[in-house]
Parts: sequence; structure tokens; C-alpha cells
Amino acid sequence: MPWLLWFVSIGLASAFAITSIPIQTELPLLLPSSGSFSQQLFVDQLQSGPTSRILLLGLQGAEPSFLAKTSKKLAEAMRAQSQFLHVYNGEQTALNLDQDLLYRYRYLFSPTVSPDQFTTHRLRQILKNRLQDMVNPLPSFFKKQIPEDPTGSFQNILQQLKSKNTLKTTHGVWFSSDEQVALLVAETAVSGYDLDGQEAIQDFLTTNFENILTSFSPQSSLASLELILSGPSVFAVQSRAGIKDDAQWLSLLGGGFVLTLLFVTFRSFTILFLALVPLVTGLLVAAITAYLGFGFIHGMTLAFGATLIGVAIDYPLHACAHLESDRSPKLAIMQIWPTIRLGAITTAIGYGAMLFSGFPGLSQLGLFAIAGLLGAATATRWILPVLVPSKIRKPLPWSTWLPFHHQNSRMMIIVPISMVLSLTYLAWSDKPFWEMDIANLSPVPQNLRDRDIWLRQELGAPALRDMMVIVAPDAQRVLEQSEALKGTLDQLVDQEHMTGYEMAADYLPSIQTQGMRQKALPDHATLKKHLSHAQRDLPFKPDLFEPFLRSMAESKHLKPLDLQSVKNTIIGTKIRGLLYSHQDHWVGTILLRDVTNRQAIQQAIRTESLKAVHYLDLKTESNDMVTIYRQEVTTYLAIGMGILILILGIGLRSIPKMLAVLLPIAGSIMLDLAILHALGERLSLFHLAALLLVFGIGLDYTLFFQRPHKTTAERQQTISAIIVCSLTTITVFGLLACSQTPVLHGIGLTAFFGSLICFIFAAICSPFKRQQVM
Amino acid sequence: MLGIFSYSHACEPDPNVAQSIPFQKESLGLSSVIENLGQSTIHERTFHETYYSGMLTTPSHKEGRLVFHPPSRLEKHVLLPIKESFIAEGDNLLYDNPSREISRTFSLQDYPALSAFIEGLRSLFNGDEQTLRRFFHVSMTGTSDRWELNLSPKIHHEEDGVSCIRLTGDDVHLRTISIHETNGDRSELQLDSQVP
Repeated sequence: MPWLLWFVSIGLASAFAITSIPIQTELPLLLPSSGSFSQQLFVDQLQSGPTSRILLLGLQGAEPSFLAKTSKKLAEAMRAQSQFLHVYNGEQTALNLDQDLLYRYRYLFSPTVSPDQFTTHRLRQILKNRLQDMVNPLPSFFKKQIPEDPTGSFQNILQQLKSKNTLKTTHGVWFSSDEQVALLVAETAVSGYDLDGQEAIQDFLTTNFENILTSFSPQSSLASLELILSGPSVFAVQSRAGIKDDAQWLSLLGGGFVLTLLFVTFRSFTILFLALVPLVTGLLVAAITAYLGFGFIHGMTLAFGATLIGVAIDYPLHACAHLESDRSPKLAIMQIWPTIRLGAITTAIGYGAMLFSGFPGLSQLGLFAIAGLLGAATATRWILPVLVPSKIRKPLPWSTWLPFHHQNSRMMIIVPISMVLSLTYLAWSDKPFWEMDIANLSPVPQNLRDRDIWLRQELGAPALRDMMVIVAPDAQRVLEQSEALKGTLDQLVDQEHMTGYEMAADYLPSIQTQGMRQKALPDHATLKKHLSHAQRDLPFKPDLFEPFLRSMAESKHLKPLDLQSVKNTIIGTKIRGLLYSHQDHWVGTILLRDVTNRQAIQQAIRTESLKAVHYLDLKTESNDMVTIYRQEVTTYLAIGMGILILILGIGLRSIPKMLAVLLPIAGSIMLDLAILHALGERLSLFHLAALLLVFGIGLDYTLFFQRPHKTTAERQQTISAIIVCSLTTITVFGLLACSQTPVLHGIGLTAFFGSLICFIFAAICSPFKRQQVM
Repeated sequence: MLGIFSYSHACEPDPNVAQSIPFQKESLGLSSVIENLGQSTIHERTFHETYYSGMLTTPSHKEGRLVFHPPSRLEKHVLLPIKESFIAEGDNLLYDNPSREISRTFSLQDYPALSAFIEGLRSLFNGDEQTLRRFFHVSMTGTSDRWELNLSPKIHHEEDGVSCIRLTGDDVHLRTISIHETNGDRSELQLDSQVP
């Protein structure tokens, strides 16, 4: 009962894989943990920085008053959730929570506090301004503060805590400048790359939004009211959903086609089932091996890896095509086994080069593909024969309808000619060959990306591109260094190289600075003297500013606030994304707004010789990262090819035979590249991964086409099998090429042309020579 | 001097006016006064304002122009002693003070006291009694020659609200506006000539 054994073990392995192997989707897991310092900071930022956690929300499609109401209700619901660090929509509520603490510490926190603020001259100026305020129709809570805080320090702090931009406020909440869209901005507690967490948050938002809608009474006017969500995490979740969607309909359509074709060819359900045996075995072996090696499997590995070992579905087809009634199935499989073995081992070694990459993503993919291929080949050799029924119907003779069994050997010349033409075309073309901007790989449609930019501009949210990172042994040191940088940053703003910045020290001054401000506060007697001089001839009631004198005296003896003491306040949440501990050090992030001159910023930091400050341009960093990634892939591909050719030579024990096998594959890859280039595709990592696949497929086709055959009938069996294999492959990848997702489209297109050309070239390079003996 | 600070919180008719000119229902209706105000198309007036603050020993004086562009733009331009302007349009209030380099937009919702005052004036200048009554309890004394309108907000904002707005006028002309704030501060606006 060997098949029972296989069933049980596959069942157990599946159960283990499904329940125990964690599938991760966080992008940074694919990136290297070593590398240059700024690369590490970049990966670090992706993992824990604030930028990816920012969520932009817009409400549109109704009267502003309705939008405002919805905005308030939605913000209220969000604030009640711990999933959000903070939510801003222009309402003052968030600030009210911690006003007492901030009020008490106003002279330690206000950036305007300095010794010269309390001179008679300056005080008089301040008091004159307050005199104007007192007789203006300002709200009394503001007027009431004047006797305690004539310098307006508290208002300064509040202003700073609010958005840096003066957003348009209508009906008490933020609106876009055209008053059509109510705006909100939130920061999530979970990382932007925790896609499951982010998806839950987005679901929460849409459900809540719908609940709010149903709570309004006149439904008709709200029909077009819609919630816009934007931000990196939203895009990431959308992309994943898009890829999932595409993958689902593609696999349904592709799978349907493959199964139909197989059924038409073999007219047997048993063979349909058998065709899946090596693939399923390979996938399980691959998943478990990758898990043992890495402790998790990345979603990308699963997707690409499955494609790479998809070639395994060809093994049983070859085997079944060679089944004969007068021969045991085992014998039939043994007959083609050397070819399968050579193809699988060679391809696996080609993929193996990726194992040594510095990128965890690549090495995991390599391990997965190798294990999968070897697993599938093993299953074909040792499990399939046991499962194959002794009698099956003769497969449909596809080859008799196609002219592949009697080509002329002179047609072979087409291959080298196409190689020369392709290379010449590629060498002479001016079009860019590589995709340098990963933004173009984003599956998010351009109009959504434009909307994100618009929302960002309206909200004055930083474009998430430029930042400075400060690394220091402790939080206070980070704050001090950030404060030291302010002068330089302000200068950059003045020179219009950027429009502003945001740092933790804006919200929480270092203990050092708080202490300096305390020292700057005058003692009671001095202040009293200055104040009375400053008030001369001004019509203030006597002793009006007594409360000011008292709170100054108190401020001088306050214990400065540190990170711990503001942890549960609005300051704490504000700075959580801007200042955090990482391993044994502290990281401070300074977000730069609307940078126009990156060179000037680089320069400014360099001249400041601030060793702990690093400037990061996320776009450049991520593009650089992808370029390095791609260069690695190219290098390892080259190494892999070298080893592969060596193994092929050893396996075939003949250099001419080896060249004969390599010629159609090399020709296919070159023509494939030329066609992609002519179609305007810029090559990315994903195209390269697909080329690997093309190589594996091409190798199989060529090896099978060039197998020595004793009879024309046997030759026809082989060709029939190759036709079935290539029809399935070409169709599946043709479908993939129709996908809207750039990544899937790229892979699909590359593999579609690649496998099609491989099939044709392999066929014309393999004229049938009956005298060939194994 | 002390007399200035004897605030009246409730919105009652000024005893001086009420005594001298008893209310004559036959000759004058509230609606016609409001209607008349709405009909006077030119809404640009110079004003003298006296502001009485509980924190100051003397009242403060301002001069400027009050402009109304129907239906909702209300502008108060202070020219003396320093230049500043308040421009209310829709739900927004733009405050501009060039000498202190302040130019800021507020949402009127955040400032109920201002909001009530502005809504009151807007509906008066528009001759819109219905809106006026939505925001205020309205009472009137006097004759068409000399009337007094008392507006008391329906919603009271204890912290920073207006307790009463009192307007006086003759015929179709508005003469004074006094605003009493809940904190005891009071502003008296004397409207002068119609600016040609």
C-alpha cells in the first residue's frame, strides 16, 4: 500500500504546513539586515519608523456640514481604539486631555522662553499686545489666561502641537482648500508593513463609516458620501488584495484550461490526479524546507517559488505520454527519468546560486525552489510509478497534427540569426533597459497615487520621502542633538530648500533645554520690578498679573519632564513614531517637508559635521536597494549559469551536445529580452525571476526534444508530451500577462514569450536522427 | 468711572429708553423694523467702539468701518488706534493684524460668542426674522422713530458666550450695538454716518 503511505504523509505534511508555518508578508523581512549604515537605517525605518504608519483620510460627496459631522463621529470612534496612536481632524478635543500638564510646564516647553523675554522693554511690548487682545471679541478662556500667562507661552505650545500647517477649518474640522473634502490624519500603532494588522484597521474604518452613515436620518442626501483612505499601508493592503484577486481568477482560468487540456489528452481522471502528485509533493517539501531554514515563509517566496517549481507539472506529463500497454509504468518512467533528473538537477543548481545572496528574500526563494524541484523530481521517480494504474488509454497524438517531427536541420540557422539580431537591437536601443524607479512597479493605479499626493499637500503631511535620522545611546542625547540641529534646519527652510520639519524635540524639549529655560526665568523680585515698570501708564487693574508672578515662581522649581513622564499624554503619542529605542540605541526621526534641494541638505549636514545625523531620501534609498538587489540577482544568475553549464556538460558527457542544448535556450532568452524591450517593458527583479523560470522550462523542452529516440512512435510520444506541457505553460503565463498588477504582468509576459520561443527553438534545433542510440 | 463696571447680565430693555418711550404696539411691529433694516441696501458704516473690560481700569476706544456684503460677508475694519480687521464669511473668520504680523483664519464654531454676534447681525441686515429667531429670543421696545431691540441667545455658552446683544435705532437706521459678554465685558458700538 505505498499510495496509502504517500497519502498519509502528504496529509500530515499539509496539516503541519498549514497550521505551523507562519506566512509573513512584511516587506522589510526580505531586505538584508547588514549592509551600509544608511541601508540599515532605511530598513529600520521601514520596520519601525513613523512614515509607513500614517493614514490619510478624506470624506467627500456631501454638504460640508454633513462631512464635518461624519468627520467628528469617525474621529471619536477612532480615538476610542488603541489601534490608533493619534487621530487629528481639526477638533481640539485631543489637546484638551493634557492641557493641565502642558499648562503647568508652559515656561519649560515654550520655545520663546529666553532671558530677554522678561526685560522691562520686552514685557511692555507683550503687555501692549495683550491690551489689544483683552478688548477684542476673543473667547474668554483665552482672555482668562492673560493674567497667568501674559507672554502667551501656552498658546505657543498648543499651536505647535496642532498641525504645522494652517489648515482650513470649517464647521470645526479640517477641510481641503476647496471645502469639498473633510480631512483627517491618523497614525496606527502597528507597523505599516504588518498588512494583516493594517487590513483590520481599514476594515474597522469602513465598517464604522457605514455605521455612521446609517445613523444619520435623511439617507438620500448621503448617497454619494464616501470615505477615501490613503497612505503607504493602504496601498500595500490594496496591492496585496489586487494580487490575490488576480491570482485567484488567473489560477481558476489557467487551472481550468490545464485540466481540460490534460483531460482531452489523456481522457482519464486518474492522470489528472497523477499530474498533481509531483507538484503537491514539491510544494510541501519546499515549504517545509524553507520553514526549517528561515523559521517563516514570505508571501512573495510562496508566490514566486510556486511559479518556479510550476515546471514540475511537466514531469508526470512526460511520464504518462510514454506509458504503453505492453510496458510497466515503472519502466516507462525509468526510461525518461535520466532526462528529468538532468533537467531538475541542473535547474536546481541554477537557482542554488541565490542561496548565497545577502538578501534574505532571494536566498529563501532559492532554497524554496531547489527543495521544490528536487522534491517534485523525486516524487516523479519514486512515487508516481507506484500510483500509476497499469492500463491507461493512449494519449491524443498532438504531434501528428503539428509539423515538429520532420523539420529540416537547416532551419536551425534561425536561432543564431535571431540571437545576433536581438543582441544588436538591444545594444543599439536608446530606451532604458532596467526599471530604476520602483514606484512604477506599484500596482496602485496612477489616479490613486495622485490622490495621495493631493491629500498629503492639503493636509501638510510630509511626503514620506526625506528624513534625518539621529542615533544616540539614549533618548535625551537624541533630543539634545535634534535641538542642536534646529538652527541648520531653520536655515534650510529660510533658504527654501524645504518648507519645514517635524521632530520629537518640538514636542518634548530635552531635560537640558528645559533646565536652561528654567534658568532663564527671572526670580520673583526681578520679575516683579520689571513687570511694574512695564505696566506704567497702561490701564491694567492693579495686581492683575499676580498669578503670572506666582506661576513663574512655581515654574522655576518644576522637575523637568522626561520621556517616561509624558508617556501617556498627547506628547507621548506624538513622539512615539519620532523617537524610539531600537536594540541598544535610540533613534530619532526628523521628517522634512517638501524638500526641493537634496544636495543642499546633504551639504548642510556634512558641514555641521554632526556624526550622529544621517540624511535619508527614502525614494533614492529604496531605488538603490532594489538596484543592489537586482545586481545581486544578476551576479548570482551568472554564477548559477556557469555552474549549470558545467553540470550539463558532465551530465551529457559531450561538449557539442551541451552546446546543442544551450543554443535554443540562450536564443530564446535573448529574443525574449528583445521582445520585452521592444514592447516598452523595463526589466525589474520580477522579469529576472521569470527568466530563471524560462531557463528551467527551456532546459526541459530541449532535453526532451533532443532525447535519443529509437522509433518514430517514441519520438512522437515525446513531442506530444512537450506540446501538452508547453500549451499549458504558454496559456497560463499568457493569462498572467493580462493581469493589471505590474508585477504579475511582468512575470507573465516574460514567461509567455520565453516559453513560446523556447518551444519553437527547442523543436527546430532537434532534428530527429533515428540512428541516435542512448 | 466705577459706574462703567456695573454690568447688566440679563437682556433687559435699557431703563432709560424704556421709560422715556413706552412701547407702542400699534405704530411699530418688530417685523417691520427688521424688514426695514434689511431693505437699507448700503451697509457700510463708520463706527466708534468703546470696550469695557473687567481687567482694565479704563475703557478702550476704537474707530473703524463696518461693512456688510449680503448675504453673509461681514467686515469690521478697525482703523484706530491700530489697524486690524475681522472678516466673517460663511463659517470662517479671518483676523488680520498687520502691526503684529498676524493673519489667521478661525472657524466660527470654535468661538460661540463671536458666532452669535455675527449671525445676529447677518440676519438683521438681511431682514431675515426667521433666522434671527432661531438664534435669539427677540424683544423690542420703542417706536419706529426710536426703537430698541434686545437679542438674547437661545444657547448660552457659560464659558465664553454672549449674554445679550442690544441694538437701538431710528427708522431704518441702526444706531448702536452693544454686546454683553458672559464674563462681564461689554462692547458699545456707535454707528455713525452712512459711508457714501
